Amino acid sequence: MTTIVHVVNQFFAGLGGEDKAGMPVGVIEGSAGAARGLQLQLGDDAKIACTIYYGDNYFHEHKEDAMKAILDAVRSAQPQTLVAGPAFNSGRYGVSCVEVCNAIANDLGISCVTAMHEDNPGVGTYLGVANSRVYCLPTAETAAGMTDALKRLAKFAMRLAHDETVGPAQREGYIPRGIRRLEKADRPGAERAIEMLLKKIKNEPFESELPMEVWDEALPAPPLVQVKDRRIALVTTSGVVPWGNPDRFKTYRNTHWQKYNIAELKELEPGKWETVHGGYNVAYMNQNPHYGVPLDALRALEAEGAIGPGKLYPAYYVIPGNQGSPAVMRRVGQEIAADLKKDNVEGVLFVAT
Amino acid sequence: MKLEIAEFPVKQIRLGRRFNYENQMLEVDETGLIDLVLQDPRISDASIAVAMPGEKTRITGIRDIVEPRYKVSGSGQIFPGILGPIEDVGDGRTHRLSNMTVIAAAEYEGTIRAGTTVQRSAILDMSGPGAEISRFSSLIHLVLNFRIVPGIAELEAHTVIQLAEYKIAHRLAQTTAELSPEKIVTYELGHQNPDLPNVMLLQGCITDPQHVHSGVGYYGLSLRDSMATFLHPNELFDGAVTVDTTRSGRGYYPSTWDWQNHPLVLGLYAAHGRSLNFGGVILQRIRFETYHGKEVGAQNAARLAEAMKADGVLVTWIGGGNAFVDVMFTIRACERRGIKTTLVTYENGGKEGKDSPVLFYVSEADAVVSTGSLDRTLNLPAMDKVIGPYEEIKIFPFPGAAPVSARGPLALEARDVMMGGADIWGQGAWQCTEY
Repeated sequence: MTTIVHVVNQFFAGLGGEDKAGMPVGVIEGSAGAARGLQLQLGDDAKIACTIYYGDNYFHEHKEDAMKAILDAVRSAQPQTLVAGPAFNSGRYGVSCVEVCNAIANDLGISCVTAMHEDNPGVGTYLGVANSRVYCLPTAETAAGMTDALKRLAKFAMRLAHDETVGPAQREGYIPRGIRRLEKADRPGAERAIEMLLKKIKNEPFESELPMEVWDEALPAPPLVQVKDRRIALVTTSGVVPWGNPDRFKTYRNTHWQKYNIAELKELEPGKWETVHGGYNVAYMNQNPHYGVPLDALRALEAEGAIGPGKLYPAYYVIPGNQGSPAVMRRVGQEIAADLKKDNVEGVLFVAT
Repeated sequence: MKLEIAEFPVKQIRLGRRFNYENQMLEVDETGLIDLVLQDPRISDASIAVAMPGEKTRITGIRDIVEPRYKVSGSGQIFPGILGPIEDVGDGRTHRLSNMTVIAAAEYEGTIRAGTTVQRSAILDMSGPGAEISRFSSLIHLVLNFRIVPGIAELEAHTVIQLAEYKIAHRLAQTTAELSPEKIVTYELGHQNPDLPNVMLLQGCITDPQHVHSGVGYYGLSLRDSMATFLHPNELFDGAVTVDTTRSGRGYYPSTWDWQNHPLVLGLYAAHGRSLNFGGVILQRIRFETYHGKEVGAQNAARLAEAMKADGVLVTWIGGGNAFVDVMFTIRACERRGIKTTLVTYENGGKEGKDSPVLFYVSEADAVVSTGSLDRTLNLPAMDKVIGPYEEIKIFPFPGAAPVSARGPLALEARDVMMGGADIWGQGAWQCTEY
């Protein structure tokens, strides 16, 4: 007999609405509330060992305690899989479902499934964790879609419980997590491309193999006033590093940054610096590293008084930018920004290539 | 323009004392070939080996890979502007030795330490997981193994490698000059059916204008800041477009073989007259250095496709990094002119496939075929035999990278160290699927 644990909020456990949202984690043996509907869908193939519930607010306000109580309850029930939700369009509930699934998958190695409407903020959390053991099924916006959602959850849960291989998102009907697996299709890419183009020309439906992403926009900070009184630092993706590449940067897809001291230097002498970057012809940069790290110009500005005495940060920051992965570069940017902030830097000269 | 490609499949290569093709067995005059290569004083020594599919063999120092072809009729000769005068090609009859290639495996250290133009070489496994990802592991290879004398700069090294491999390939195919082929395929663009859509291939090419060889040779001339130009697909079959051999074949760079056997050209020809009219190839230079350049280049390519009355274009590219912005702008420019597009591209996405698969998007790029990811790691077992100039290889192309034994097991951080490990134009069935 397959054992399943169902996690729901206080409302779907049948214990009360918003006024009960502060309710701590509790465990009911067997199925209660929405879990009864799930048990109905599961039939005799599986048994819901217990229904775990919590108040929507309690979960988010006491996350550590809540998670510990849930983990303990799941651990003692020893289920083959866990179902959370469906959360429909309820944001707090949706986020908690994903966080519970993620914790159970990571700590107990159990594959989990939840369900919610595609606009639920929980879907954002789901994409963020991109856990290969956590699946989220799309549902209707409201609990009017309960029966349908439970039916699909039951079916999916049974597959997880039996350790069945789950295929691609589009085919299996779960919300894609942004995990792209390298596989072999049944036909060469050239054939698929010609077929896709002909469908598009004939206005027939077609499925792109690569979904478009939406990028976040970085708003530039307002200009500095009285630049000469500000602490200025230099950040570059040019790949200019000390000769010999002491920190072993690669020419592409780097994952770490460095800062190199320029406090005592008037200029960067050719031959003492080299460029590690696979995205452009570095011969000119090697001849004159100032193209990437314009220390000569900054020292001239210091002499003119445009940059105040001692206001130029004593090191420059570098990561070769070539083919940088957006997620890594976002992290690198945040780390560099934090480091700059810690040292009270107010303005950055960013030299890209 | 009508080109007949006459096929002579090769199932076995014997290193012997004469040139002969019989019953799919190619016999070559080993000493004759080596002498031909050593005519170039910049080559210090040379040897020849054969690599068969399924062998526990690893080939190192690979600079390029070429299919032996020889023109028996029609103007010009294979590789116009390189092996012979700049004459029109793509017409008449061309012999090909199919199922085999010539691999140029050369020792060359180079004078450039990093950057786009640094020399690089690839490896090829003939069996195991490495063979599974490469389109070249199922072919028979005649490996030309040689050293380039020290002190030669990149452009000259390229010409040394290219001349050696093309001369050898040409000589091999010449063996069939008087023989009748097993099969003839005719390639002709005529007979446009007004009921079928007109489809072209829009081939974007990254070029490095600062480098002495831009990466793409057009009749032997480096393509630099050019605007988009029309190419008859038959010109590709006869070697009108070639590569920089000091960095081809690795990562997203195609080899000469890839240009000779372009899967999208072959696919469009196969569909020609059946489901579409193949309208030819637009060769577009990409990776303009400025936004201005990228926009002008994109508009220009789309304008050419429009003038050629294309209803749709397959868009594909050679390149990485910011060259993809040019590709996306081109897709947008085509779609805004009412020309439908489908993009064929490799992806990145990181080791676990959780990172962004490509570096730039436009909303018009709603039809994309994925040819797989470059970023996935690959563990290669030890091999019994190493062919090629290097017993030790550098897996990472950065200054100061430590070399490792070429014979032993290798942990590749990305698939592009393997010759043909990146399926750039959809020749194979690799794809990334969303989970």
